[in-house]
Amino acid sequence: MNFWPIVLDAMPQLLEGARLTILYSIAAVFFATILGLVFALFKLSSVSILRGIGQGYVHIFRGLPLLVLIFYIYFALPSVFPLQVWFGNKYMIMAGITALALNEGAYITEIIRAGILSIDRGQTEAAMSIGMTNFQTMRFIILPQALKRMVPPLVNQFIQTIKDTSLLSAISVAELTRRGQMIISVNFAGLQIWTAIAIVYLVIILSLTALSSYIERRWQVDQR
Amino acid sequence: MRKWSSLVASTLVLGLLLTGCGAANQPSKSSATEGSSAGTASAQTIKLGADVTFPPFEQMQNGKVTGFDIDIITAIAKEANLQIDGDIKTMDFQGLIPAIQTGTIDVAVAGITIKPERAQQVNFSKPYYKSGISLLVKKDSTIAGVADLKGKTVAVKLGTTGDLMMSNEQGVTVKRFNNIDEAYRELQNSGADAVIFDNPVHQNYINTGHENVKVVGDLLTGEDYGIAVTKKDAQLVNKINDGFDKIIQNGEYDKIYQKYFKDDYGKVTKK
Repeated sequence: MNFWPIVLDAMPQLLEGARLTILYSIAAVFFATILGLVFALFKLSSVSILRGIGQGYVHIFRGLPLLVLIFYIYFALPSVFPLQVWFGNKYMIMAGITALALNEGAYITEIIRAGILSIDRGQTEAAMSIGMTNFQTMRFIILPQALKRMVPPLVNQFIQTIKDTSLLSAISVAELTRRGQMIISVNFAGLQIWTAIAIVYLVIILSLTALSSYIERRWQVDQR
Repeated sequence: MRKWSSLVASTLVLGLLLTGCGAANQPSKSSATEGSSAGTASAQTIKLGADVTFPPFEQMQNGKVTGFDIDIITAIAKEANLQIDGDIKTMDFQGLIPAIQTGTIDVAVAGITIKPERAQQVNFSKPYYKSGISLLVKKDSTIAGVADLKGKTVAVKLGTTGDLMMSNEQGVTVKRFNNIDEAYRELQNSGADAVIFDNPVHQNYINTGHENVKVVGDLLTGEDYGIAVTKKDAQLVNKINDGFDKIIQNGEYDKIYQKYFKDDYGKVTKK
């Protein structure tokens, strides 16, 4: 079986695709984390409108399959507003990152909210009793402790984001999966190419896993 | 550390196992079955695959796969004593030849252009339609031909001859979609300046209520469509060709052609 010649020949293109996969993942995770933090705090707020907005965000973007959301932002919205005209070739990138960030952000909202809620009320009470404001309590007491708790599920979600970038192939983003389809449409070497792609994804994700193990050890996440 | 090295080791083992598989592919048993009764020839069953986003060659109507290609293969199957097994397996165009390679299907129709690279993977029937690819642009576009595409964006369907042609053009941004309707939508949304695809599909698109686009330039290539047939059953393509000859002789081909096309541009029986 002709494995290495075909794979080595395809490698430059596959690595170019992997580069895009990583870039989209980083951008999506960055924005998703911001969204997650904002909406988690909304959901925990004492202001009922903010709570409603937070719940609405999670309901909608957790309730849509990511592929549907990608198609909606890329194909449906531009037929109503001339988004492709306004943003030109950048629209594909923006649509991809927006869809990923909105979707992942909904899950991260719940992860952060659960992390915060898992901190014992005594911490908040003690902080209040020495005169800290709500903001100071959250910023200096609650969030640092909650962060430790959130590392495993957040890493989970980041890994999921990396895998979700493969769905961007449907709107012609030339990430790793799409590159594979493009190569196979010419050389028909499905087994060799998909095996190579699987290994590249594994390398990317296992590297992230290794990094998270290191962080968990440094931060002593397994201790209270 | 131990857990980590075992993770790396198992990944390497997985990779090596798959490369070491060597020529141990499936034995080339025919995936089509012969009937058993002596004396009468029972129909051979074939698994048929098709794209469904290529009107008027194939499309979904009321939950059924219909179109020129479907009528042709059905007529051929009747003449050649072949039975289409169960439902037609629908999938993306780029998945059809891989599906024949793995034996998921035996025969595929999708307006597939006969090309030497494809002919290495599958057998092709005689041509049943003469086509060509052309350029579709918005009515107010200044593009008149391929030369005007420099610096522009073209939407194509992944794996088609339009895709391959554009991949070789310098200075053109290519967006590859799984379905032609997505490429057309991209043109309508101004995400692409042109779509390159088979001319009859463009004409069908224009005729189904999309009057704001037009075909420009000449036909870029001459393309013959063929039925893709598995190499695993070496006789199957001959049976299909025999069936095809019969429907040409008895006029069935012309009848089906007239049902779908007003012109006779693509007819293989043209004098």
